Amino acid sequence: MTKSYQGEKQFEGLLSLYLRERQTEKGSGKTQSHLDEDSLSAFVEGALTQPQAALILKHLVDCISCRRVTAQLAELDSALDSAPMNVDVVKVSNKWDDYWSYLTESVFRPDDIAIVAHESKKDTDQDQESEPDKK
Amino acid sequence: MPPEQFSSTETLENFEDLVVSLYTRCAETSPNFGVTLECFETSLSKAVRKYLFAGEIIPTAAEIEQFLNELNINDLFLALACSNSSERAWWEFDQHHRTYLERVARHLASSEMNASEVVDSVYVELYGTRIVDGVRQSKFASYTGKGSLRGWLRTIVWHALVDLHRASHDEVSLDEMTENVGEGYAQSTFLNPSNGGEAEMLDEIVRERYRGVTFRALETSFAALDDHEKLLLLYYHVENMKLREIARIVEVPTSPLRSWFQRRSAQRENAPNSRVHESTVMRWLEKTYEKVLRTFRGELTRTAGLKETEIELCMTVAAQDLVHGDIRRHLSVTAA
Repeated sequence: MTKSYQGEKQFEGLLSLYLRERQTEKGSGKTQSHLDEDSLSAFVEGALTQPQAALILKHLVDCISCRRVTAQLAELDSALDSAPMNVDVVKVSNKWDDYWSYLTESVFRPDDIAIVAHESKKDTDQDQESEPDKK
Repeated sequence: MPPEQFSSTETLENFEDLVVSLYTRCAETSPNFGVTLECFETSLSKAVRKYLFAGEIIPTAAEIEQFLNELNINDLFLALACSNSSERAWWEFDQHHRTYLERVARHLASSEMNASEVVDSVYVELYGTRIVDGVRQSKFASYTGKGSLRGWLRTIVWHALVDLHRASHDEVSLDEMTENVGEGYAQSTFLNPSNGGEAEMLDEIVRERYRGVTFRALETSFAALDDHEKLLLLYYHVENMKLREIARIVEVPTSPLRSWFQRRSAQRENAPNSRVHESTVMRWLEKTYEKVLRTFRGELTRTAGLKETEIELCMTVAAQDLVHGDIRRHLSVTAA
């Protein structure tokens, strides 16, 4: 191993620790606004052009929380790609009526339900399982 | 003549034909979603303002047109319909995305119970719990179609899981949750300076001098990097991302990180759609190291007036601090 190579490796190690420590310094007690889900996911998917991403990139350099979310989303993508699909996934359509009721009834107070005007399909859709009217 | 530019207030007035054409395409695919042209146009305007008018550069007509054409328009149409409580749209959403949501939640959550709790809370959030001026505030309304709906949903699940964790851990904030990795380490690295004899004190004075200039040079050389280079280093060294995971973020040919790194590369010209492998990311890292090291040495030579042998000494002293873990104390000294 040459001396210059050793020096470079030594510097990489030093830089690595410096960056970790810098994060702790910058992170302590600092509150700032964060990127929303739309921007975070668009960035991770590479869906933004350079001008669109410039402000986001600047934010990610300074904001530990948002940077960590993007890192974990990328890790998640990678892990989901390599993990086998779970075979015991419940057939979704069987749950639909329950879910729609759950959403409309649990989310709203009784006097709000009229706004949604949800009509239950249970009485009419006999041969289409729970699929809503296609019209 | 410079390309025609638009202000954010007249955003889509000049693109009526394109907007109508996109709307017609979506309405033909999903005729019973009940999304109006006005609602669709409002959503596109919001997306354009958010991504094209956020900086100082005013977009050209061609850029706005390209932006609109690149949106995940069918995903957006579904999200708008769900946001407007279309039961048909919700049924479609449930059919196409619930399995994915459950898969992501199961992967992230510590137990099956937590996973279904997260999926439930995501559904409630997507549906919306608040009503403002008679309008229910659905989370779907914040989706712009810039990324895929699935990518967006994955981020929503991640945040829902953080909220769930926070609720069960005495209101730990997102910042605290995401930053606590470095904290334990930081606390363990506070070491008390040793008390020794005169020789040791002299040695310590010399070391302090080298430490001071070394960490100032590190600060300066990191600050001199471009944002994309900083982010790459932070992903690799602070977030401990694997090269493969970084490569995923840049695998799309239009990825901004990739574009920045490859802006002068022959590879980009010859094969713009080629896959980015781990080795490519490693090369980018090495180039960034070279750049930081060059600035670092330059700083020590020019600003601190050190000779080559002293620079080596600086690196050795800093490396010893690394081994002994008291680098943070010196960073504080430098900052003071």
